Amino acid sequence: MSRLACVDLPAFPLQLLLGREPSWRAHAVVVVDRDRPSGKVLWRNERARVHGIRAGMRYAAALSLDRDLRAGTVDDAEIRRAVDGAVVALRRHTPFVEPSADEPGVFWLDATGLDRLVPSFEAWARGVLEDVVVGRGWCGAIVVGFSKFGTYAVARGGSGVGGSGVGGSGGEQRVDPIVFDAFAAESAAARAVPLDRLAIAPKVFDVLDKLAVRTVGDFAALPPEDIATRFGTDAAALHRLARGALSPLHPAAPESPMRQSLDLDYAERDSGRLLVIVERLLAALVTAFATRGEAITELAIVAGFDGGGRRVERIAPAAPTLDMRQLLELIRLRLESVQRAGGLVAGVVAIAIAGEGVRAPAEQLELFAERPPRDLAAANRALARVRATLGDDAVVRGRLREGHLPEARFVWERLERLGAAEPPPCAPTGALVRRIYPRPIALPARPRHEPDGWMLRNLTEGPVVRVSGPYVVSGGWWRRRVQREYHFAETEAGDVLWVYFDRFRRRWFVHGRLE
Amino acid sequence: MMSGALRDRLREDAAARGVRWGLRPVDTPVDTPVDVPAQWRLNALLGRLVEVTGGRASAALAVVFGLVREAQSRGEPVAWIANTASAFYPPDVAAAGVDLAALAVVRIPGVDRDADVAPRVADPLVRSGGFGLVVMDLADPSRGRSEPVRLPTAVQSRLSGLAKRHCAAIVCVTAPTGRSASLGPLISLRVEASRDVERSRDADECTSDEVACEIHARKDKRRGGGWRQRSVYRVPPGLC
Repeated sequence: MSRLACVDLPAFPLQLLLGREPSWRAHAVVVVDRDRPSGKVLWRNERARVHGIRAGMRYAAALSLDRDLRAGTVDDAEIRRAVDGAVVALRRHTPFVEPSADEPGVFWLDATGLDRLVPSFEAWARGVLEDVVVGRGWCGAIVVGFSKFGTYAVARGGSGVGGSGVGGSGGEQRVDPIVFDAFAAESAAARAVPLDRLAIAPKVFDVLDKLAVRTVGDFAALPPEDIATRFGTDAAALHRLARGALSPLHPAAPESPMRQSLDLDYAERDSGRLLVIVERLLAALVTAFATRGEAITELAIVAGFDGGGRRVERIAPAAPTLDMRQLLELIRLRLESVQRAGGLVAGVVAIAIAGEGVRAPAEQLELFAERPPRDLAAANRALARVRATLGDDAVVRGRLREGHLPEARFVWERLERLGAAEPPPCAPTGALVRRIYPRPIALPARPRHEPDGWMLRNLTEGPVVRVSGPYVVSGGWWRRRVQREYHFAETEAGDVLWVYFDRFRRRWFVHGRLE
Repeated sequence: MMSGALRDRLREDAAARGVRWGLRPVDTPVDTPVDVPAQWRLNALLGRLVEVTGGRASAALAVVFGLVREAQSRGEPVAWIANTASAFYPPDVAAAGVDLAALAVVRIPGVDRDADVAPRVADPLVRSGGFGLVVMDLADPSRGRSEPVRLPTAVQSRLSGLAKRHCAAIVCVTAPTGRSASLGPLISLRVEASRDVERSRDADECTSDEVACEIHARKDKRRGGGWRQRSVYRVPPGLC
């Protein structure tokens, strides 16, 4: 069974705030959503809890409970940067790290196979804790176990969700990792965790508390049928996990460094030719930024010169951008000015380009997406040429229509103009496709005695070994009555022929084959 | 090269803004639909002349239409060239998830010389650069198993060059001939597609209305032949 670990940094935004304002550790501290009296308390530390301050309270109300209360905001970008930093640090201990999408400060680590590389899981977990948690002045817990939910619940059970253990008196930090050797032991420990330690909606928690459902075990024991209806989908998902449903690890992909470089075979002294080289590097860099969903705020061009020495030029666009033309124009102007000043006389033998980015707006990213890969107008011109050569009826498309007989269920209609395809967004399973003959091929009458079996066409295909059907299709009574008994006849060679027996003509026909 | 994360984000953003999403780089990898095996995917076929032949219990049309669906889902126009003696059954193709309205079908009148005419039709289509996938259905029901279709080497060379230049895939569907005859030496990839009915039944791999199909690469100039891919396909109603 695969092993994984959960690193829990409780009340992560509060820890970030205390990291920014270490002198506040001796006070009651809250994180608010905005720096105003009407700002809502999101996280509070132990001292604030003692004063009766709760999450969800207005800052003004909290201040009335403790005149010495300290408050601050932690924006999403700061949290994201800290989470990214933690992920990079955790990757030093295992390549597969998944930060929680819902709760900042929760990370799952793939520990499968690490016991062969390290003396024990406990030693490995202690190393993670000391490097990533204690080393950064954070407090948190690590649990090594078997499931994402189990390790998360046990880690939460030890550290608390409300930040009560954070920044109490100089930062009390758990340093003892918990390691489970059996899934059953992990499950048992998880079931004993109080529900208030999990990120569960306060309203749901209140209702459950009234029902005396206070631990994960109590919650898991509830019948699953009505959980979603009564408590919502989030609670239902939590319930499924609490009952033992396994959730796979989705590790975040490591991000490539935002840097492109190239060593040149010769010393380049011309800014124009350098620009061509930089353009290639810039294209890769811009794509890398777009992949991250970021736009470039600043570029650094590092030129290494023949005989040693280097020069760094920094370029900042007016606003974060992914526009190659705009960036290239700025680079061109800078390179030309450097050349005019004699900065390229030594000859550039290595060039690197690195960038800083911020989250890009959707409009920027659409620059990469809005152009279709093919020119439909060119396709239509080519089809017009084919039409001119083979006739107007040569270029068609299939259209389904209502009908009883197979040949009546579709029609080939002229394709005047080819448009963009819109296949169903949800990919169905592939389907076997029949090849249909516009004129069914008449088969010889079946002899009364068939010592070698029913030979449909020739000896190569062999006799029919399996027949599915009949499926009776009738129609055309208003014109010429048709009654067919369709079968799928599988020959010894493996071919499946789509045959029918015409009741009125008393003959067998091949209408198609399965391919 | 665009990553999966960017594609997902672009898709979400485009959906949120009501903008139709398309891809820019032609060689961009896309999420492969479940019915298209990893090695049998449009990205691996772009710029190549490919032959798909039905083995014993042919599944050639099924695997090619898997490709058509993949091409359509990534915004690549598709053309299907065939003769008038036989055609794919459109209801089955629609059931396979193909948008019939956007599938250009060129039906060549007369069946005798379709192996000569089809490349002449394919030429301007690929040359236009407007198609990402052009399928030439050269399986002629009137031909016997012992009469393999051949493409002249000059034609193969021209089509192969066009496919490379315009980063398009040209796929030829041929009927099983009973021998291991190929369309010609310039075919870049030749695969045999067949149903594996017995193993599907024995291994409980499929439900009663499904069958496993196998793509067996007889020749692959890029990766080396011999690889196999299995996937599950639904059978038409009535076949069990």
